[in-house]
Amino acid sequence: MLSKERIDKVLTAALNKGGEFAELFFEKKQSNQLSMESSRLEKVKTGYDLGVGIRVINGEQVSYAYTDDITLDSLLETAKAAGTASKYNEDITINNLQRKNIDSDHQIKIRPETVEKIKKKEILETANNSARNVDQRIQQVMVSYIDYYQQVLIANSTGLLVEDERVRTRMMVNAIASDGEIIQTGRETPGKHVGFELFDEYPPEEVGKKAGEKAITMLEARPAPSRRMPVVVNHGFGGVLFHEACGHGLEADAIQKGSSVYTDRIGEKVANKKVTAIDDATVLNEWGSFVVDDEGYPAEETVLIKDGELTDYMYDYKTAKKEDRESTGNGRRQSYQSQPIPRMTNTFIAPGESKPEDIVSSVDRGLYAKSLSGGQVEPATGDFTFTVAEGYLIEDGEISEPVRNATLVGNGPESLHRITMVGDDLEHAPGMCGKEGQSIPAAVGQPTLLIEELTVGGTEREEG
Amino acid sequence: MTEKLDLKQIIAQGEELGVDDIELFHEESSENNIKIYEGEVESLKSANAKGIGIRVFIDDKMGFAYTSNFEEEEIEKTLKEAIANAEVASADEYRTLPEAVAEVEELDLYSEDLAAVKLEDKIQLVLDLEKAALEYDERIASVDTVGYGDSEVEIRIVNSKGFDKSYRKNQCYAYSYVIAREGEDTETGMAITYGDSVAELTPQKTGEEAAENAVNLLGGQPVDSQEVPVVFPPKVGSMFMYVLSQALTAEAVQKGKSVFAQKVGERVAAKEVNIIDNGLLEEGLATSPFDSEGVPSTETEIIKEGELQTFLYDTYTANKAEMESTGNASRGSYRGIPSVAPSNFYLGAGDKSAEEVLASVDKGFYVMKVSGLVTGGANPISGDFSVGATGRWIENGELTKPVREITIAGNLIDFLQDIDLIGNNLKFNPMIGSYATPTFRVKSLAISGS
Repeated sequence: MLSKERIDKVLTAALNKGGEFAELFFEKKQSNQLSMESSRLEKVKTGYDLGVGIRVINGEQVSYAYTDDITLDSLLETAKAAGTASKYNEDITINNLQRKNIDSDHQIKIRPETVEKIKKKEILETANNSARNVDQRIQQVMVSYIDYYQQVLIANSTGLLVEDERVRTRMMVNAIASDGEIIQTGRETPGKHVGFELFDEYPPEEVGKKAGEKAITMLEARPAPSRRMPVVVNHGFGGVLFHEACGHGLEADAIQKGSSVYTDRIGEKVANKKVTAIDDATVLNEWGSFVVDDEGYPAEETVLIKDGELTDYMYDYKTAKKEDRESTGNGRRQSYQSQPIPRMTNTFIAPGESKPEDIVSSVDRGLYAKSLSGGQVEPATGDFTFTVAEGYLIEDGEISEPVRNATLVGNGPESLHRITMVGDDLEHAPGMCGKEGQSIPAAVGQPTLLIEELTVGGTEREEG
Repeated sequence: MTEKLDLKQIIAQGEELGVDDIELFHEESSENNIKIYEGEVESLKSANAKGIGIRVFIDDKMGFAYTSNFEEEEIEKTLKEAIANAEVASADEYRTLPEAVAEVEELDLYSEDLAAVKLEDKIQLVLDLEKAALEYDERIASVDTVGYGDSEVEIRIVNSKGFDKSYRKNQCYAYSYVIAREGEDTETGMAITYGDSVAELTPQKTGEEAAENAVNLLGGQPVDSQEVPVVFPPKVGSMFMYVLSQALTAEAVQKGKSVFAQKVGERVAAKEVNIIDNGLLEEGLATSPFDSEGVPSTETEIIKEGELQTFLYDTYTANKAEMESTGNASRGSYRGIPSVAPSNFYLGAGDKSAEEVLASVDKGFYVMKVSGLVTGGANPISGDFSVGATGRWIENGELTKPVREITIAGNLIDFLQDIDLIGNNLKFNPMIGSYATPTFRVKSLAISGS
């Protein structure tokens, strides 16, 4: 990594023109990716990334420059580029860099870079075979595996100097089923802030099997109906609905720009009183966890909504400073090539008291969204569209036949008021979250819950 | 900095280590981004990056590794890692490098003018854009994001078959994303302008367009569920091209992931429909003399007068199908392994004006935004799609009330068969790649609303 002396020189150069705050972000990352398709290990890839991003803040203005050449000359030049835009200020000095060592609670048992490639290949083969063995109608299976080991060092002109290591491992299985007429897919994507021990918790044969079964179920499903109805959303990845339709609106940059429906509403009732929503980067070994964020702030738990009342937003350094408060440890970036911005970590709806089966049995006629796939949200309004990857009708309080091609269309803030039952079965699920062109690992989560009314858009043709 | 790294030497080193073939993808890039907020510069970004992707072939097995660190021992480590990766990969006789060509098209992709534009002038352009959006209408509550970006990239590919060529290109764009409010009602609108030089950008027009898009949608309500003609302007039509292109690559076909598999020679679209991929198209955004593995770019008529002619191929999928590569190998950057992807992909223009297309509809829907389409709302395998939509209702050939919170659903093949009127206003949408359509009409689509 970089020596204290070198960091000091670079930060000094960055503030040469008089910025208020300078920061250096060093990153070294090794990543591995294997992908299997048609039962062949087609792509095996290793990446080595190394670079430094330098940020200078002056009032509201931020300038950022990065380089992948970490010689002192290049770093000084990059620092100068980052400092150029600053207007002249009074003398700002760099506080003495104080190295902070923070122990990680996120124990990594089997570091992926120590695992032989052939072992990784075996994991893929097992999941592949298991998905194919589900049914003859499984036509294709794609399995991919990714791990990375990222070392970061963050230093800034307030004297902060801190390091962190993040290890993440994930597998993705996509099974495609066809009966000659219809094609449907099933997807499973476990991943955590862990090493190769991921597969003790998620054995590859089970992951493959689940994906295969999901595809077959959807193949046998009939088209979903279109109308407004109660929707029960299963725990786990169902939390993507909250993440997309509400979570982004609780990030402080959106709040301060007034582009969020939640601006100036702290203390107001924004959800049904059954709803408590939390962002927590300290969840042990969870996909979106870390020890310090990408600005060096310690991971923390932030309660966003408490019993239906809006309590806090997610802040990074810059948005926090604007309100003269502390960052909530939500400053994150994709790599040294990107500026940190307020981002979610592990964001979820907290568990309630209902049993999942009681939630289903409370519905006469509705939809059970067992798993969702992607979705899209209009950030300013919270209007959302989500695709249901695996859905079932609920009839007389019981889960009945599967339906395919259902989409959920609605409005996030409105839907929060319509969550009338919350289960006790909280589960987190990994995802990649995109914002301003930066993709970062973030977990979503929720228990099973009931949205009492939502528009379901299906492809079932009306009779007559 | 290419001179610091001797690419031919790395090829020789690979051959010494026993590879059958080796390819180096060397990339140097720089970019500048400016964002303005309320008349002040909010952020400036400048970057320089470089990297090399090494692809090796041993006994019909392929391995890949990349690095941004050009120190000698790091390059050697990366090369050895690529070889180790090849060792565990599955053997596949179709994995080869393309045969080297002697000549590629000379394209003028680099503008000295753009490279010389001053920072102050770029900032002024964004300020003008923000102002144009804000002043358009009093219901414009704020300009959420307004910015400018330019990028420059130089790519050189060297391989053990004797290919060694490079090209340099630069581009710029500016965009704004605005929020309109009236009472409790909020709507957003966005617009983008792009070009080879700053002079080609249209801040005034683009600012107004973003504002107009937002204001016109205020007060939207769902309509009743029904089947009606739907008119697609380029901004939305191009998103359907994106989805369509996913199903028209040879990879999707060979892997059983395309609704078009086994349909070459068949009528898959209305007679008016021509779908083209052209890597040499001057006004395209993905134009280059050769693709990401050194095959010359070409023009490919994928659907001609409604009939499916061919798919898009890279070397691997072409080997497999005993076809020629169409020059469609693509990689996002030096960090990626090449795979088939469209270059400049578009629906060929017709002879009606955009106004005539709109005027032809008695009662129908004009789509201005769709949501969920490129994030899973369309299935390239089955062709089924169901997406959220916002737009305006059409009555007697004119745009009337705003409509929102509806979904439109159908199947891509039916969609193509039902395109019955095509405008002459072909326009690229740089938000999602390099996809374009003119304004066109689809005879009938299912809308579900209230």
